[in-house]
Amino acid sequence: MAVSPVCGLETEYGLIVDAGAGCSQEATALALLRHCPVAARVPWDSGAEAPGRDARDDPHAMAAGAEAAAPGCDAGYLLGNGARLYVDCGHPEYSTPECAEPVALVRADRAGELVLERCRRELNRFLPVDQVVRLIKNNVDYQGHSYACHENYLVDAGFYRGLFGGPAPLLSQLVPFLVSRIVVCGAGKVGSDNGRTAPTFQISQRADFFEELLGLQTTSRRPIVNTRDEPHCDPARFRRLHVIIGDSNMAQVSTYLKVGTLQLLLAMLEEGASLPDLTLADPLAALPAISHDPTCRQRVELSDGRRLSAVEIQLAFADAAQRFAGRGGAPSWAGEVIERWGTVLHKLADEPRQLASTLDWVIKLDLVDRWRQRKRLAWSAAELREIDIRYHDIDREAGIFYHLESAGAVDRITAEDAILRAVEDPPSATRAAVRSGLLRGAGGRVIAGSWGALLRREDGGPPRRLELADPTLGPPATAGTAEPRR
Amino acid sequence: MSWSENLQHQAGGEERLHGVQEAERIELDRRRAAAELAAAERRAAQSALAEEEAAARERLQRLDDHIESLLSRDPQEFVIRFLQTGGQ
Repeated sequence: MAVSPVCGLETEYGLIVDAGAGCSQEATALALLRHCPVAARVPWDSGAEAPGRDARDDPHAMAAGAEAAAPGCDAGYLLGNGARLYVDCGHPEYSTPECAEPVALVRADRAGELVLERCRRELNRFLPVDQVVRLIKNNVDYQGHSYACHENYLVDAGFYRGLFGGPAPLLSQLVPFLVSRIVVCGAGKVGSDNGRTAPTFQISQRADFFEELLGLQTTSRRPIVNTRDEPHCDPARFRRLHVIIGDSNMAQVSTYLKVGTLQLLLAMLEEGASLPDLTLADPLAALPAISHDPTCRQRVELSDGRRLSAVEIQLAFADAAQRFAGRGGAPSWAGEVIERWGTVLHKLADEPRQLASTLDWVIKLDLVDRWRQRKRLAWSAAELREIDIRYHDIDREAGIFYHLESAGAVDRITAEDAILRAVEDPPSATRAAVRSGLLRGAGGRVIAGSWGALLRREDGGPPRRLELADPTLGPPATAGTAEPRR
Repeated sequence: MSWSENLQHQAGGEERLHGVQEAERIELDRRRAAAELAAAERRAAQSALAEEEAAARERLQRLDDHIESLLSRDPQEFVIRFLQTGGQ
């Protein structure tokens, strides 16, 4: 059974305190959470979470995963817009509410930046004037550490088993897509990590950190395909595909294509359409090889002996998606995703710098390369790394990306007023709207919540658990507006 | 051909010759005007392009000036202090 496409993002933020020698990252992250100024919120109920469960039912992997799962620093809050704000592994983290289409997800992701920015401003009011907390929506600290932007896609439970199980797991068809998509949604990085040969500039922040093909773990020896099986919904009907191979994006087009293209390919697989056979000979070697070549000319070997560039691999997937959409049955937003995807890929094939106002990694490359030439700096200069970090600063006045955006130098998918509304309001067509409606309309009776349930205080009795087992089910006024994939 | 007929024929020939010369002159004028127009258009386009390029350079300079104001005085120290714990 095909289910309605529902997706979400969870993003860990880096942080730094200006002139704040001795301020620990963990303590600052917790202080940010304590200063969350969002009125509509309740404590997060993490009782039902089980991040150690493996999709392959591999007991050894489950045990390893359980060991690898870091203790949550603070479970945080369920917010009135249906999102979650918390602290994980010492990082402030924002999980968007469930969204039914990629534009809604771009709004929700950007709303997350605004929520954290409000926390930051509130906390800064209590700090000495020279100690300013800065939040950086990136994935690396240039000292060997990485933190994440994970994607979640709702799929049918039976389809999920086919993704991981059997002699020819469907997910293997997606590996070449996941490896090559960094040319579309990489966030760009000066230098390299994890002992890789230092390139001048590379396409992805995270490409140097993936060391396994398949695995449950997320904080070390990161796998291209993550097998965490934690549905956060009715497991008999649905599962959540957890994708950890992605950068945190600032550019709206990068986020839009990152999520829209994978949602579309999952819809194709779920409908039984076949993806092109582009199995990579060595995906783990291909990923950094692609990332380390900003000309996008690097070819990688396929298991059938062909050698294709990442753009050529992406074009093959985009063509397949176009044929699928042409036959009917694709979501209504698919046409726009395919058109933007194709435009971006043709420009990447021609001259990537044409996308210097569109994709994160090209915007950043254009900026740091110009800076390097103007100041006659070596690629190893700390100033270029500082620019790289400050590109991701979510302070609207101090962040370099926001400076470029407010000057009209980067493309947008959605307007600022829609993003501002998403700080307060949930996406309309998923259970996030039900969760939000119950939380905000219960007159303080909802005392805790999570993705799949709310705890409501009842008069004269124990709290009642309200289950929200179907992520596709919006409130009655919008019921049925989430599109089924058929 | 009679004398008068010959005279008329000659006059007709001169008229035709004059007509051809006039047509050639008009064509030359037309080509000259077209060339002048094309040159003027080229100059205008180059000028507009130069203005556009100058404006773009100015915009970039303003952007970079602002970015410069956002950077720390000691980038090395900033990058070292941006030490994070490993995450997911």
